[in-house]
Amino acid sequence: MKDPLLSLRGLRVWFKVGDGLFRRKRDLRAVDGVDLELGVGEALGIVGESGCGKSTLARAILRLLPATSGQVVWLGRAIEAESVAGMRPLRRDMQIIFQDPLASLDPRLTVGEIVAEPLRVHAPQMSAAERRSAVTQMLQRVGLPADVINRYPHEFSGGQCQRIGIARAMVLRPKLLVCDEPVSALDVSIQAQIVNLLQDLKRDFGMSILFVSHNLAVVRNLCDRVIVLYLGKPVEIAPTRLLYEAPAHPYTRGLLDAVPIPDPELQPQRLGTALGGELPSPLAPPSGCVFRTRCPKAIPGCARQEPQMKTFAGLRQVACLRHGEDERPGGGG
Amino acid sequence: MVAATLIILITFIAFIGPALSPHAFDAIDWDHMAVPPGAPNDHWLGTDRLGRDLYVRTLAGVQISLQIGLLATLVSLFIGVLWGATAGYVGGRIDNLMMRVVDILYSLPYIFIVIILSTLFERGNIYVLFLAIGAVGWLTMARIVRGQTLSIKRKEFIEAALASGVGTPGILLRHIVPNVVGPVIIYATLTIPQMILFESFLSFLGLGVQEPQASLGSLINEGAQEMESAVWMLLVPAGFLVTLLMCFNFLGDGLRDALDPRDR
Repeated sequence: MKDPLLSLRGLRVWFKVGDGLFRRKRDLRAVDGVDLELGVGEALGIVGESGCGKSTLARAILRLLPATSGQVVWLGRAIEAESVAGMRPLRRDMQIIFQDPLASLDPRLTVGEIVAEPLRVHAPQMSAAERRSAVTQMLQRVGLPADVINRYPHEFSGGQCQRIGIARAMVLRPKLLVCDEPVSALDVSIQAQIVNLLQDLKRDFGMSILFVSHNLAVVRNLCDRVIVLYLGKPVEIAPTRLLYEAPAHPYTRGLLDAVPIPDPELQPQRLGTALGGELPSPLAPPSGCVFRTRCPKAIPGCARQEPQMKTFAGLRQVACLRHGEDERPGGGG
Repeated sequence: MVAATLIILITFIAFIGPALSPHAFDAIDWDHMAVPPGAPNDHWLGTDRLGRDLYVRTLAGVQISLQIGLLATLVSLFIGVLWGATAGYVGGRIDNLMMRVVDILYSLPYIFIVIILSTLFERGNIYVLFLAIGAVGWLTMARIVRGQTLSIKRKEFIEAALASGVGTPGILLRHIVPNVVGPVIIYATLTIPQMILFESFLSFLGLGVQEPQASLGSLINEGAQEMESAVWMLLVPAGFLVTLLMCFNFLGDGLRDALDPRDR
């Protein structure tokens, strides 16, 4: 990819856990070696089960969490060691919207003040009137009436709160919008509205989107490419259409099979292929391939050798030892 | 609302009222000693054992008690909120250090500190008194604020502010302090009466307000000694104290509701 907006090189985020007097501190490997590139104007989905490190990855990219090792390269510049003050000018171009729309808005501030906050930090030269008009414009752009600026967040529904959060993130016209499960707390009908709004904004402002979600249907609608994480490691990266049509990694296949089909005839047949078991502890990940404990295709070799990402079919990547062994290239298990 | 009005009214009377009476707070009326209220003379609420006008003395006492209560509370609010919010938000080693300072100050016997302070300075200087009381009072406030801050700093709106590039002072003053205001206001309005009581206690030990000046505490103490023969000497200042304390408690509740946009 030429001139990516953002690239990650071997990004790791480990947490020290266990603070007991007699217990050794251990590393919780939330994100464990992610290589990734995000193009300008591209929408990339990050999917995986709960606890696989999706949100941690998103926060590490924004430097809301420190990276343990690896690089975050933003427009050709490594930013993972940048100071708080050094990060500030960069934050203008990278914004985030959150999972819980109400919790992400300060209950003591009016909607106008909330949306104006990024402007106060990054455009202090603006007069109060200019700021107000920028705020009103953005609120209207996300589908809220201008008179909401004097009201408080608790007066709004979840969907409206998420629109306020989007207005706050977009008011500076960032180059990257990180969406941390932005629709999973909303009703299904509202989810569609928010996804449509994000699509419209992307079309109008041309920003890149990192869309963290466990909702595969939403990702399919919005994203150009998808990265599948398992226990902090990427297992598959592919253009959306190809990934959904022909998942290459057994875990991706399992995730797709777990999406319910609203058809009582078909649904029971698929239950047999659903993934069993629980996510292993990221404190003690399995040796070799981390997915082998739940993988229907695991062989003894999977315990010994850690699979590396390999590129196939030009633009797809998968980390599975057995990929391409006994099937057509690109065809899933 | 009623409570706030009443507090303002009492404050007003306390500062204007003494001027309406012909007597000074320390003047002794040899003709009317220990007169009950309502007697045919111009001592409206009676006199004490030495013939000093109880109405004027009580109002002078209210003045001093209010000043001490408010100022000491403001001192403890200011130090306590900033200390607690900083410790809670910054966390880690700095938090540990700051809270150990609080623990150490907690474990010092503050009565001795007050005694030492009052021997170093002129006795009965009420400003030294606030300083001493305020310096002790902020400790609990700091702990309360720190606890609240710890729960608030995990909320997503703090993360959102960080992602927008808001600095630490901005987050503390704009997001954390306003969000801890609820419990702080309640505790502060409970602190005012505590401070008033604490001052009375110091006056009782002879460390607080000195004769002939009066505070509500010292008046109640005097009155209690005459309780069996002259009950008004106790009832008049005690009535004012109880009314004040109740008003502050109601005010606390009212303020919390008024300051929280969610309850509007």
